[in-house]
Amino acid sequence: MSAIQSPPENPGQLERWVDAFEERDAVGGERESLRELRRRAMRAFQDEGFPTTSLELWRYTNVQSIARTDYGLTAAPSSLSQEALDAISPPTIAADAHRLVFVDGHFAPELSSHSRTAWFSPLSAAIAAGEELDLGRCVDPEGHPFAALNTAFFVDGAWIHLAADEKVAAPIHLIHVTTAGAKPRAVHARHLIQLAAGARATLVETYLGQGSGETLSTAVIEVQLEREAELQHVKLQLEEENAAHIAQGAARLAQGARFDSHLFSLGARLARNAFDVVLLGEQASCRLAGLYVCDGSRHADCQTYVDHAVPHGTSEQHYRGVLDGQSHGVFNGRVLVREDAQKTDAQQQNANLLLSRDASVDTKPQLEIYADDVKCSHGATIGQLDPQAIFYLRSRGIGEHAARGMLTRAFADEILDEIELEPLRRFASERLHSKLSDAAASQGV
Amino acid sequence: MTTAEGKIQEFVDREYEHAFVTDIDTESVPPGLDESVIRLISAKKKEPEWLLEWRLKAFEKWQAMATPEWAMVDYPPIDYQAITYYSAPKSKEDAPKSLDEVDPELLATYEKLGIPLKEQEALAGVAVDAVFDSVSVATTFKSKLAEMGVLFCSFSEAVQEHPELVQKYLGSVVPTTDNFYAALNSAVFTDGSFVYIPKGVRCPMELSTYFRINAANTGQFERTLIVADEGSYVSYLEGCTAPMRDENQLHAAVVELVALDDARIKYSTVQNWYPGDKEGKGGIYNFVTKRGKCQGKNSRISWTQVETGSAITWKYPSCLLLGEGSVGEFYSVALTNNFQQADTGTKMIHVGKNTRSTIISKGISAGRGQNTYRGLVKIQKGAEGARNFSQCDSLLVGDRCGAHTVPYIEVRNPSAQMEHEATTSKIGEDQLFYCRQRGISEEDAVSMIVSGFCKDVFRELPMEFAVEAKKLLGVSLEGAVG
Repeated sequence: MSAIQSPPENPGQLERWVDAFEERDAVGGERESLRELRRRAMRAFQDEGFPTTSLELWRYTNVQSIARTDYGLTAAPSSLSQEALDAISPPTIAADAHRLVFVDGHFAPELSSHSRTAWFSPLSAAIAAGEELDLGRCVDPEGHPFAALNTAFFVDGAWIHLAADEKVAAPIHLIHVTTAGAKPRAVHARHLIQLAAGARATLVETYLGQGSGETLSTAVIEVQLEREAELQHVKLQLEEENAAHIAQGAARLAQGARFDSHLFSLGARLARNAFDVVLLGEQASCRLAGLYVCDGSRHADCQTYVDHAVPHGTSEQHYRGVLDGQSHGVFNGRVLVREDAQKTDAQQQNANLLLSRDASVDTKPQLEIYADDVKCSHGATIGQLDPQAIFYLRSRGIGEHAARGMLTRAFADEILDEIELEPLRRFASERLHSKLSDAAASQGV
Repeated sequence: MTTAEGKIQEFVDREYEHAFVTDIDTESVPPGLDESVIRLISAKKKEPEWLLEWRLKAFEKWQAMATPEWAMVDYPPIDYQAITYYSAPKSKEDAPKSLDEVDPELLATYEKLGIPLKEQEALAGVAVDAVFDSVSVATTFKSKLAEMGVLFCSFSEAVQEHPELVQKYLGSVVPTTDNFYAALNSAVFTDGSFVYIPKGVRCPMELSTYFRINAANTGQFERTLIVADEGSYVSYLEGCTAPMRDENQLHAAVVELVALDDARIKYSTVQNWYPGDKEGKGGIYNFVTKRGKCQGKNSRISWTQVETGSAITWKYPSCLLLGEGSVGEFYSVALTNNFQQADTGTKMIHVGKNTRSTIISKGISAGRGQNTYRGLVKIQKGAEGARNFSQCDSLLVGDRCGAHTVPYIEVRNPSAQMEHEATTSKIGEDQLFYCRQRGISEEDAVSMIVSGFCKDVFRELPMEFAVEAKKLLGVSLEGAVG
């Protein structure tokens, strides 16, 4: 009940990060504006520390295990062979896909299949070339402790900038591999996506892990869509069991822009995927959809925030969770309709399926509305498989396990079926179904 | 629409109807709070030692607590040393034995409020325990209730006459350290109501308390405790008003309900504290902790509230569903106009098997009012077969107000089924047009639409209250659409 803030935890935990930052900062070689941004981020992190569950936004996600871990903060990236990558990564999602691979946060040109394009540059190269990059506009390091760490420490990522009316037909596939070693590793992925007026692209982010050691990956993606620009975004988050993945995405949409995002949170021991969208121009629209599937003692947290700043905006959110074992699912969705943002249409849905006795869900779909001529609704459901539906299937000669599997898959397919890229959908679907059949098989009847 | 606008103005300008101040001698302690004030309150009320200790313990805890800041309400910090913690009509010394002995001025006050005790005694069959500032002045129908074994008296009286019951249940639902305001209340509460319904008794009439804050700078800290023994039933009505003053007044009450096996408690509130003027000046800070414990199997607690008053409302009538098959219900209409702010909702904590809860919340915002529904549905691990249905609808009238929904849903049992839905809408031009086309005046049309919007809640109110609630909403809202 009381809002007493617990003081930042053991300062020793922060010191490691501060020391590593200062070491890095002393090297220099970056534009002053970027250095200043990094310093501001580090100051914010130092002030705020690792978030605790007494903070409203972190109420259901405990990151003390991350705070306690002594990560190698400046370790050089591992080298990854093509074969090793192929073994874990999704197959080609389209014959002509632009495949951009990052290993431990560093661009790996030898693994990438990008034809030289004007619209892509690794962030590291852009920074070295002294480009003025509009970083930190969408994601403020203040109030986002992990984004602050990301801002302070990121080395590389993708900078995608499309000119007006430029349309990239082939999907752009960003693949991140975090390799685990003897020592825990922390990796920071950073992307800046800028689409000028009328530009169009499809972007797929895939996060993978290799090896079974402890890792932390922070991911920040900043998306700027100018008038009538359109971005299709898919994120597959598939890390290994000892990984923690904390991501903060944000998109700013100008008039008539459209942003579609699909999240599949299927991996990592502790995963948190947050996405903020600000509708800054009229007739802008966004759809945020997500599916989190957890087994064992996984923890998956999805956070959304849609800010309707101007009239005539449309937003939809649809998140589904399937929770098995002792896993824990969290959904915290927030819709803000500002004064004067009339004729807003905002919908929010969250459905959760609990498959086991020990699984749990916390959900908090919030509406915050300051305009009267709006259509806003939200709904949340939590429950188990419908016994009548199972009975129906069994009465038609389908075994209990198969029936459960079928119903669970049908529940998940609602989100999965929205992916337009056929090979990607097939890959995600296979990953998911193997996970779900494990879950269904583990059901004690 | 010009007529509509005229009406808006008319209704917006409507003065608070209960804005009179009663001029009677009161006995107060100087403003400020320390241990001596608590000792004084306790001594004045001739309280037993255990209660004083209980108060002091709460006070000690309170001093270490911080004001809750998570609610979506905005107000300057309260100076707790500037509040008078005890104010009683002087005539208390020789307490009235019957209504005839009560200060006629006081009775006139109630008359103005529309709850003439005598009339009610004669006609309405409602037993009223009227709390005037801090001391309960008259309790009606006591003798009739006593025949059935029902105890309905002021809290102070209960402490004197039924100390074993008070000691057993006081703080058993809302512990002293529950939250900042509950701790403050525990330390300084002056009076309130006490109800005990014995086994198997169906209380023959609706029990009612009318709260009224009179003295300036007086915080009202009342404490209500209702215990329904096995198989009993009681319906309890609470109404509140306060005179119009420029400064803000604090009201921090605690209500505890206990329902044993198969018992049922129905608690209805119509809250019409002074909401402040059009500029948002003055008004009551209504920071209330209400909680019911469904302790026995198949017990049932329903909260129904119509919140139209107060500058700030901060209250979450909750149900702790412990008994197997127990049921918790929350029906709420909250209205904010001008600069009123409300952050209200409920908590349904499912602990026992096959427990069920229903939440129906209707928020109406007008003017620059801010209205937040904040609720928690928690299904604990052992709550096999628990079921919850929540519906939170908001109606916005005007484009400078806000309606917010913050539901927390925490589920730890897979057999639980819970659903939450919420919508936000406004009174549509087409709805109004449709009504007007059929010869219904704009004002009636709005009233009809709002009544329809609140129907699910009004249906739960006892007859007398339903009428009052409708009238209250009408006063604050009709014609507020243009």
